[in-house]
Amino acid sequence: MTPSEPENTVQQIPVTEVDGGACGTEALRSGAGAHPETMAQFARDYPKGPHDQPQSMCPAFGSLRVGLRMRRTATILSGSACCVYGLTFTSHFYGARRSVGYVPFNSETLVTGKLFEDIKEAVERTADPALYDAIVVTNLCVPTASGVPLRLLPKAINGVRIIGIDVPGFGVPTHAEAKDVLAGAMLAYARAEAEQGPVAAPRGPSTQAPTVTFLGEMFPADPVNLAMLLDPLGLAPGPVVPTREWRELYAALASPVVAAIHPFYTASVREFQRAGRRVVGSAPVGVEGTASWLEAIGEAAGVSSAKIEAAKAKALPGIREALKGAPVQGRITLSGYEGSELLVARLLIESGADVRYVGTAAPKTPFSEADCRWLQARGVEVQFRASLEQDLAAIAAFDPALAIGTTPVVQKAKELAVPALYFTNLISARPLMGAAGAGSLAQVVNAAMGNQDRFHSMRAFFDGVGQGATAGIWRPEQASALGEGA
Amino acid sequence: MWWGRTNDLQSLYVANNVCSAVQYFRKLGGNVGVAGLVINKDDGTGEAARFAEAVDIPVLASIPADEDIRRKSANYQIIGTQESPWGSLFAALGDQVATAPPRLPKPLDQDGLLDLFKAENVGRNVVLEPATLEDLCGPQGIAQRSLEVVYDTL
Repeated sequence: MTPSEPENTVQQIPVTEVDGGACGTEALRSGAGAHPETMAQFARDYPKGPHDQPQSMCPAFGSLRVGLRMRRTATILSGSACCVYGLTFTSHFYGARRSVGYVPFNSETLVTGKLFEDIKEAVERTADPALYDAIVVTNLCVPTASGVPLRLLPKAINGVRIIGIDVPGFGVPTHAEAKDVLAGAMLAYARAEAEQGPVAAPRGPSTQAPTVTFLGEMFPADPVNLAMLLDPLGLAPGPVVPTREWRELYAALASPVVAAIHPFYTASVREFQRAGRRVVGSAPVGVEGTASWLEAIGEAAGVSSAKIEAAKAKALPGIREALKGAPVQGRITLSGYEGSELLVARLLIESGADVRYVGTAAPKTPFSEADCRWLQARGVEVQFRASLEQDLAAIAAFDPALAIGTTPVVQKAKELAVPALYFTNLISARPLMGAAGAGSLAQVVNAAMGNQDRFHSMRAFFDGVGQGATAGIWRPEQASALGEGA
Repeated sequence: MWWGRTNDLQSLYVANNVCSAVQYFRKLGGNVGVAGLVINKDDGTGEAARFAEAVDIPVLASIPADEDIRRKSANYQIIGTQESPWGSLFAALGDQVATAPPRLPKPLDQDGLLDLFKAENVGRNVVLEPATLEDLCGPQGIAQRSLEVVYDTL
């Protein structure tokens, strides 16, 4: 703008020009103005799959959720209002019970850099050390593509840590990996603090035993199960990352061994490795999974082989018993975006199920390598970065007695009169590890497979409803065929 | 005319440079050509002949990689006489050199030159593996500094 032009010509630019199509415009896809180093790191950490756009929820929901679950942590979003509406709606639907900050913008504030000043002001006003340990500021698609430089925010204000992250749909493929974006950023910050000097001790009684940090959100009973498995090794459970409180990050970094229960935490793993920690993949699911996990954890922690054998001798019979007591029979296809799909498939196979296909939205990483090999050795088709089309094709190809999957997969399976279970709501919501996991899965899986007859009768009853002449779409030729006149 | 041991990459690289120089000289307004290629110590692997065809120059003669020639040549004995079995070969070469017209060759680029050879001989399709920290620093290099987390004592 030249100085001679009246200023209000700029203000007349409609706000909708920016707010309009949040997802999927060409400029956004290319991420034209995004910070090149951030985008390059995303490309290295989160390789793209057959689809270069998320096929499930907005990835930013993953990092938003992680921040909202942390004590004394404020969350501020910067992005299109429609995106922020959707994200906050969903977070409250899942019980956030906490406000989400929003810095609105329009074309002018975005282009002139005023948006960054507004974000900075919002952060400064929010940074109350009495209330917060940290403030998480997240750039959604539009400000990321425009290169709003959150990295230039102060590292701390009044002792409140400021974490600025970019979580664009065009760089972070899944909401699972967005959890890693925030967890990794927090671990990097906490690692730098621990290098500087003493840090806050974890809550609760301190343990003398070396701890194991767990990577990946689990069913609440699972850390307890893991603790029982670790006890004979002389190891204690450490925090679960993503953590629920800032000081847990230090304890997580202090653990000599990290168990990557979920395999997609690439940025977090990098922070642990920079701190000199050993990271072990897979998880103690089923007899074989538990045996090899105990060996890997014990070896990484430098535990004697006698202790490892003792731990196996203590854990395995119970798991074997539980599996025998809760057999699963029938063919199953399984897909999901949680990161635990391969683990669930292992447990189902050890329970006796005929699993033919496992699709996961997560990429292939070293931490799912062993599970992938175990499944492939049993003839299971394992698909990393699975698309919805691949998941549906698996149902068509294998004709399963049960389809476990995401919402659209379950919807399609039900249309085909195939019993189906939501992975997120029904499978992730029960224990998976150790003996508790071995028994629990069979119950829900068998109940679902037992519904096959009801599906057939429902299919017979509703057959044809909503199709052709009953689709609710007026077609003159059909009406005349029914004798109603055109 | 280029004369050397010609069925190897190094010789053909130089021969190709000669062809490039001829091209370059022509562009500067000079007038020079290549009569052709003499394949010396020809072991029959055919790279030089393929090179001559590719840059569009004739093969004036092919002198075999023969022990008799090597020994006599090392002892400064003349082999191109009518008494020796090689006389007719060198006579024909002489005639060729005398009558061959100057030609403007079409030099090959680096990849074109390598393509004359078998992939396994010139390392085509080799995937380079970066050296690991262990390769560079030995086992001690791996031992990374471990973060020591110290807690506040309250």
